[in-house]
Amino acid sequence: MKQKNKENYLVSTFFVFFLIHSSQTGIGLLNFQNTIIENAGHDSWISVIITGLSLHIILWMILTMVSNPTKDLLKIHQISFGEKIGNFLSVVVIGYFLLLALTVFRTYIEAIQVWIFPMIKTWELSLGLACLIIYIITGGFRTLTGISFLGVVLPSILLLTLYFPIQHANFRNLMPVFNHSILEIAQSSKASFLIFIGFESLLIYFPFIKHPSKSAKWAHGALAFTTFIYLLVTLITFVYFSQGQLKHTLWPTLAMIKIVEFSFIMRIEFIFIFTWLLVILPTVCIPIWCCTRILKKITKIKPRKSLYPIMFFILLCSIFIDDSLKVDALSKFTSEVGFYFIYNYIPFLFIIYSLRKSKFKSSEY
Amino acid sequence: MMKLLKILFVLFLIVGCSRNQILEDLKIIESLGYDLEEDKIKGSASFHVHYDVPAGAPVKLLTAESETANGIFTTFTQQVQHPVAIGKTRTIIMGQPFANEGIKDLIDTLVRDPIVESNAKMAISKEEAAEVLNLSMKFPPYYLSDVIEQNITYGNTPKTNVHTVLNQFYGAGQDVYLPVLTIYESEKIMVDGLGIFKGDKLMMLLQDREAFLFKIIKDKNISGTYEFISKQKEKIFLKIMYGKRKISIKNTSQNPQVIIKLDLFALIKDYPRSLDLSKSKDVKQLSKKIEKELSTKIERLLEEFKERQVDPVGFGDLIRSEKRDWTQDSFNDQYPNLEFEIETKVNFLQKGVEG
Amino acid sequence: MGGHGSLRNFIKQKNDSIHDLFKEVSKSDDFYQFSTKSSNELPIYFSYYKSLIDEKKIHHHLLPYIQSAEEVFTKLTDVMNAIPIEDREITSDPKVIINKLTKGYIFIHLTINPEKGILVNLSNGTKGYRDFNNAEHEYSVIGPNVGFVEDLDTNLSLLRRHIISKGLVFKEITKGSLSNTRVVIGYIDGIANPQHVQTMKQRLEDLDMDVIFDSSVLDQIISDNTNTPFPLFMSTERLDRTIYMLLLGQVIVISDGSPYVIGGPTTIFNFFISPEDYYSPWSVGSFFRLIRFIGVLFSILATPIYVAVLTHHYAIIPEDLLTPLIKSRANVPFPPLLEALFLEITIELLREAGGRLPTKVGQTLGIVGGIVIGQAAVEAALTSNILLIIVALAALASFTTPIFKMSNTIRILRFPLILLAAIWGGFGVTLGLTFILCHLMRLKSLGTTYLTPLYPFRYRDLNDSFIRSSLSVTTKRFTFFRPLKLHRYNVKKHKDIEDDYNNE
Repeated sequence: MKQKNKENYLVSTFFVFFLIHSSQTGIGLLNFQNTIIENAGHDSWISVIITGLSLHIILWMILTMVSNPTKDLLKIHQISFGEKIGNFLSVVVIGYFLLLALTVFRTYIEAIQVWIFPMIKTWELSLGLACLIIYIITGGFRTLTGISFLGVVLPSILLLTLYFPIQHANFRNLMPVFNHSILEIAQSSKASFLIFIGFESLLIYFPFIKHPSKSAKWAHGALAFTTFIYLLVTLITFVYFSQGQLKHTLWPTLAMIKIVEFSFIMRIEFIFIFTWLLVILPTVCIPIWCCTRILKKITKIKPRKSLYPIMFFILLCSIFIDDSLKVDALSKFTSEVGFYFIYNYIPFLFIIYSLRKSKFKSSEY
Repeated sequence: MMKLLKILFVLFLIVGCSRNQILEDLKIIESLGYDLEEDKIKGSASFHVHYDVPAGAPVKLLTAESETANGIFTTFTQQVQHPVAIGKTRTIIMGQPFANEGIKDLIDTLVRDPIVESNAKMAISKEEAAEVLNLSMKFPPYYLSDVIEQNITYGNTPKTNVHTVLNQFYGAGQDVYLPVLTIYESEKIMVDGLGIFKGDKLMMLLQDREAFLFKIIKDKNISGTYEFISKQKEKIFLKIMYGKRKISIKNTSQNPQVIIKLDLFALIKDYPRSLDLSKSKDVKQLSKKIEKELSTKIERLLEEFKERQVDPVGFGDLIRSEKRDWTQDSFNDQYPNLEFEIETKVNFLQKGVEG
Repeated sequence: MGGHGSLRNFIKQKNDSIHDLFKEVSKSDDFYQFSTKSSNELPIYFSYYKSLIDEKKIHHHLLPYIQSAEEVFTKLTDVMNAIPIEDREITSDPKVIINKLTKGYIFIHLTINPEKGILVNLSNGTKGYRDFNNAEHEYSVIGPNVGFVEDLDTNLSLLRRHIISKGLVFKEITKGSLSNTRVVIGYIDGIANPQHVQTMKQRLEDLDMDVIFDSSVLDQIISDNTNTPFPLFMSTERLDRTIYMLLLGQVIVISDGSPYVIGGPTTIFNFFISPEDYYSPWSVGSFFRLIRFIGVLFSILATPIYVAVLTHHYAIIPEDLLTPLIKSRANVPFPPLLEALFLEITIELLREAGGRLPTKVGQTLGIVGGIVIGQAAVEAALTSNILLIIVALAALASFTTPIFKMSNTIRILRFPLILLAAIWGGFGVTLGLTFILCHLMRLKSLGTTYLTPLYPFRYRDLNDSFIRSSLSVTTKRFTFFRPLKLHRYNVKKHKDIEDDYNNE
């Protein structure tokens, strides 16, 4: 099974940065502050740093597994567990990616319904968004990379809006520093996990990168950049809101942006949410693409055929998850599953793979 | 791709018009008013009709009575031909009895609703809120919020808006303060001082001069105007342009002591003409007078806060940021023993055209 | 016997075929035959299409030499030697004869039913075509205003005179089963990537069409994706733009009978550059180019944002704007969507009608349509005056693109966005914009992605996309056209300019 894909389907290494960063920044950034302050309060920015830094180890494990020679997750499963069990595990991974895509998809629709269109039904917005997603994914991996790239470059303007809440900031909210125990900070780290998952799709699209050996610096750089952005948002949230107020605020990032107003336009949070579409599109499209790719490799179903049932399934699920309690439960569930997948399953896979790879000769790749 | 276009086209046909909020078919509420009347909430809403109305059809205030803070909207809807929209409400006025009773319900609903602006102003009115709103209908649109906004920037009101109210209400160690509106000469609306809350109930009202003193020790924008008569019967007026302030706490565990250092840059407009401000001796004399006046008055204000057990300046929050095991109750015990030390320094910016 | 018979039949067939050819061709009244006698009383016959040849050439360049020749003509080669025109050949193939007759050649034969004859080129290629070549549709204030004309040879000579290099190569093919149009592929050998030339050639050779009206017909057939409103080949009338394309390594296609030259591969940024940017200083040129981009964005987004904000998002409007907006819309009975569509379609009607009116009527109707209808519509409360301003400005802004095809595209992109804005407000506009963006990312022009250098991101090629950098920076060609040579010219500092402050 040739792992080298045709030259004109590859993307240059520079885009690994954007692929990883955009697949991580999703909807979590808008409402993660509520979950992380439950345990560590105003010290949870330390938790964010800890989570971000610890993920570099996982990223290193992933990069070691998929390089030398270039392979993807299916091959790793086959090497570690044999063909049948490996393929079965890959099918389970499809479910994981579907869960990721569904969470971001449904939470974004929820955000739109709460903030802008309380009267529009879920199925309408889902249908419109689904049409766009189908159009993007049928463009192939290069279009996905393009959307990732534009999904980082164009919304970076929104970072400028973070300047305005600083004018209302009260820096004493961050003090006293380290007022919580290590255990509480660790618990907050776990709670903050939802915003960091997404980069493990690197396991599937790694064969599409030109010069894979040079991709390590871009990948780690992307992870660090994501951590930096999250840290910035967390800090600004904490100096803008008092802790008590934060507990009572849904969607803190959007509530923060509400204070921004210009003479020609008010309510910048509307523009913020609309531009956020560009940010979540890679987070939804890349996992769905990964699902169709795994299906293509294992069951030889053509991706164009498998895409429509997958999208229909996501639509159906998002219609059934019809109130905000269910959406919250979905996010929590995804956060837990993601935690176990990234912190438990990937190191486990790494160990098994390292033990068994020496038994495979490189000519069998 | 053609399939997608067909789906979108069909969608377009299915969709109805009931979720539109077309601009001119809305009643855009500018200010909301809440009054208390025998255990029932009396609500009022003012709006402007931006196009020309026929002369015989006056535009009247919307009024309603209900049990809950949001129940007034039901009655509002029953009175108008367009749907009621609160997305551009800039002022929420509460009558004094209503504020005395407690504003917790109102704040809880404001938090939950994303449609309300963060920069909307909340205020207390000495008269009935409905009266104030009724008067404001005669003025141009958004008059009330402009008045309050202008006073925040150029006058003696510290910065408040819905965001600061929520911040202070839910935050620990900080009490809410709101500007006070009053009707002046029965046809003008005036900002007159501050109202300080304890928890969610109105506790005390500050007059305009005290509001200025409060502003310079609390607000980021240290500015305002102040006049006083000194012990020697001299009339002095000064306008603070900008300044620096440093609040620090010593000895947070046992007997905390608050040190407030103010460094103000002022324009002296009215001062005894016997003094010649080009001479440094006279400048020193005048500035010492002003500093003494400011320091004593501020200390008196802070002592009054202590007496009434309100903490709008946020000393609780200050101590919380320094002390590791701070709780609200421990602060409540500490607060009566808090000692203040105020140092004021006034620098004069210009001395006028004539020496 | 059979073998000789078939050979004789064959020869007879050949003889007969020219005779049959003449019989068929004579059906058309403008096929003319006449004869004249040479000095030895031998008749010489001339057959030609009267409408195709230049009468003057027969009178001055052909007949005098044949009629007053002193030698005796006994066979064709003697006649041929007497003719002073260089494009002549002796042939007996009817296919070649009809081919050349229809191109304006004259067939000279010595017998009524000839076996062979001389074909001489007496065509008048430019008869009926305009001979002034101002670039009327792509006007520029400064710089040469030279444009192409419908005659292929004139166009080729214009190109040759400007690129005086042996690298400029023209390859000619004939396309069109009825029109037999000459189509020429041009490129600079040594700069253009041979793959592009090969692809262009392959696509042109594979296409089948009856009449090639214009190079845009070729454009539509050989383009990578025919379902897109975006033009995938650059089409221009100006000489300097064509030369710029050639020197960057693009391949051009010129078709006889069309003053527009198409070139590829292109990127979307090529459609927003104007020759005036290069004839002004780079800061001025960059500023106007940025204005063009802003104009395009404004033109696509202004009306949809108006519809979205007024239909769904009243909260975005600042307080001071509330009164004018509500006042202007107070008496309009339609929702903003219908109002906007009504105005947009009116403007499109004005544009379509304005293109077909004769000039004198057009001016009057332009004023009537523009001012009076607009004003009257506001007075009758059919629209609001704010929307009128927005729609008029958007229409104006859509014409800032130098290439007509692209401005057409911008015109129609607005309408789906307006519909989406009415259904889903700002969310719909964002959906539509992302859709357009994604569509642009999937487009390829002759194998090159349409959005280069924005995506795939090439930092060094951005120097001529959004802004026009100074000439000292643009010393290398764009890499995404994959030219064979990257280097264009060297930059040298002036020797006579010194730094005054340091040296005084």
